[in-house]
Amino acid sequence: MRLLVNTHLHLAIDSLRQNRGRTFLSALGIAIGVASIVLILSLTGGINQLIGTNSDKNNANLVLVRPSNGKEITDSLIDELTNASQYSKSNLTLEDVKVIKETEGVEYVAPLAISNSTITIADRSYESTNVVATNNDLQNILDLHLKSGQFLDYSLRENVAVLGYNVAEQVFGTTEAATRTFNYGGQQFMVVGVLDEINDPINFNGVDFDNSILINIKFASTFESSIQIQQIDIRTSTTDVVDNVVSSINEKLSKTKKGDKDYKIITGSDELHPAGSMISIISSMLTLVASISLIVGGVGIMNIMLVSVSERTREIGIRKAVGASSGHILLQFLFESMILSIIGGLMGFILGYVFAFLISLVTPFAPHISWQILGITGAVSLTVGILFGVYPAAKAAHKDPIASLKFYR
Amino acid sequence: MPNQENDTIIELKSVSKRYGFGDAESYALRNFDLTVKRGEFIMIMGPSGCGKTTLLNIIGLLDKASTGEYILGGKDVSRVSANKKARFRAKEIGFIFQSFNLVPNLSIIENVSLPLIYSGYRKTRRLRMADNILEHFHLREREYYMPYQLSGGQQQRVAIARSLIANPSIILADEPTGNLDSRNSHIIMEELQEIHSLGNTIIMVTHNPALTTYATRVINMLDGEIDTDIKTVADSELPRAGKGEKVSVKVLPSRKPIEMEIISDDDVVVSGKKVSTKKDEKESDKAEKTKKPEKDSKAKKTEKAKSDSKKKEKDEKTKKTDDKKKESKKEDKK
Repeated sequence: MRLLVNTHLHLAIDSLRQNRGRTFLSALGIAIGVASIVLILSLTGGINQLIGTNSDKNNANLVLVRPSNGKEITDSLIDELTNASQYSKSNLTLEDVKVIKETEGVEYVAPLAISNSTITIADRSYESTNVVATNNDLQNILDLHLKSGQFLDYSLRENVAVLGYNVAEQVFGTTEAATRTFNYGGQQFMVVGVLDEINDPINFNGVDFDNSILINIKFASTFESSIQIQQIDIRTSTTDVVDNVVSSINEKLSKTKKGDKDYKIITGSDELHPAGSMISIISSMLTLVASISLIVGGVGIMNIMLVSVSERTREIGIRKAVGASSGHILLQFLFESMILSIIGGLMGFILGYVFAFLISLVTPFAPHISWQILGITGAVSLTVGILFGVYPAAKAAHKDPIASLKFYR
Repeated sequence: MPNQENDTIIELKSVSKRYGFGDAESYALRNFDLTVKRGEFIMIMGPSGCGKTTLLNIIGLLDKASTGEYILGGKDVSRVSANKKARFRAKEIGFIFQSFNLVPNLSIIENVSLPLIYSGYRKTRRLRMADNILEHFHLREREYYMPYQLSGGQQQRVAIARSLIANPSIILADEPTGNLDSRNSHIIMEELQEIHSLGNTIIMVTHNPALTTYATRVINMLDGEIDTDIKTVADSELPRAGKGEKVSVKVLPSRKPIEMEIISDDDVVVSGKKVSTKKDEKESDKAEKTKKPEKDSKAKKTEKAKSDSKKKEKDEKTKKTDDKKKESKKEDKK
């Protein structure tokens, strides 16, 4: 078998060599298709890297628990993008938070219960303000800095609040808002601190802390009938124990929830920023569009192969007369189209990166080079070669040797 | 008797080839019976459209008989799969065509080694074998020429080398001299005769009655049936290589080249014998080809073609082939 493949490889390369110009042109079709795919993948990869370096500085030991309704991945991706999941019904409870807190390797745990509601100060009301019920671990998890005052401390007093920078500015006109009070949910809250400006509206919490009010979740659970925990942020003691923590949390939660898989655990910095999934959707759409040009290239290869088959009818007849079976002829032509498309793929890979580098000269991000992209282009061009080579090869293989030998061109 | 059975290479039993259906039905071959013994040199003659080429194609497993049985080397191959037929073609059958049929974009050595690809030889081995056989045909210096750089006669010799390389049990030649001038046809016939004298079996289709002198058996076909079938050499006198074995390429001895030297417009010297080209062509337009003087007389005899004279001829031929056989054996021993 190896000998057969080797032989046909040589045959195909030889016959492609004899038609250099034609080989180059038909490979160029594939090259352009592959180049556009490489361009898109490397540029979106570059953008992703840019976002990654900006948003997750040290998220390697972060673990998130989110409610899940067991939907398809694409659905939850859309949910994530539209923030729909944050307002959906959650099955996470404070009990779960306690369970997680007791897990070995977990350093900080903070639940996030986000609601969009109205707060009132004296007789003025501020509609649709983000109120995040959480605990004092959040400061350590997110590395929040205070402009003034202090963070939530349940032991100190339960009805306290920390304001986001913008909220403090808007509502009280100052960032020195400590000891001011406001009403929310029929309770009076006292401001104990104001956060520093963060200016990072897109993050894995789905909360713009500059425009939020943080309150104690334990206190919130006393006056709100059902508290909806959208997310539990966990920071482990070291990055090495992340996997262990995930598996033991999984074990514990499935025990307490009696097997209901209504939550999901997310780790790794890649998955933590929602913008990444947005870009991956866009890049996959673009790739889909670019693959149309790949199909055009494939049709070009098929066309050339058909011409080649009819030009070489006599050769096929001779080969069959001296003992080639239909399979031999099929393989010979299939290898030819495969080599054509692989040459095209390589050309496209190089061409795509050249373009990407040219573009990166005027944009802030560098093209992303990875083995995956090379793998994808290789696989795609090979598939195209086989897909569009089968028909001409089959046509060659089924030629009648007697008629082929009589063929004059 | 196993030995006798071994001697029969090809057996066609009431083979018919039908084209078309119903009213348009016509037969290229009709209940054709043929037994070919090892070492025979068969010439098939007949008018155009009498089924000669169809017969050759069926024997060469390129075509399939409509009905009948075909036994090749003791195996019934009339109903084997296409892949098996291809394998038979690669190993048992060598083709020589009127139009040479070399692959135009392959060099001479690659063309010669073509059949070996499909018998599963490695490239170096293929090229070495092709090199050996081309040396025998004195084309070694032109191994890496392309076919279009060679003359018609040289191309046909390349084609003969190709037909021999896989060491087939039978060589099928479809008017191998049809596209050649008389000088080159002569050379080609000399090559074929030498191959035959080494024990190879050859079936050749021709229009040229002058060539029948080379044959050990002449079959005249008419409308898909055998008209006459004349054996000029007894089966027992057929050249043979060893105990009914095929002639191996390796056994082919290196020998003096068939040299041509042009003396004048009319005369050439082929292998040291003076040959006239002009006279022959004028004498009979059928005989396109030049021959050695002694052969010329034979050719004329054949044209008269009566079984009485054939017997004498046979004796002469047998002697000749015997001599050649001895020669080759001597050379082998050397």
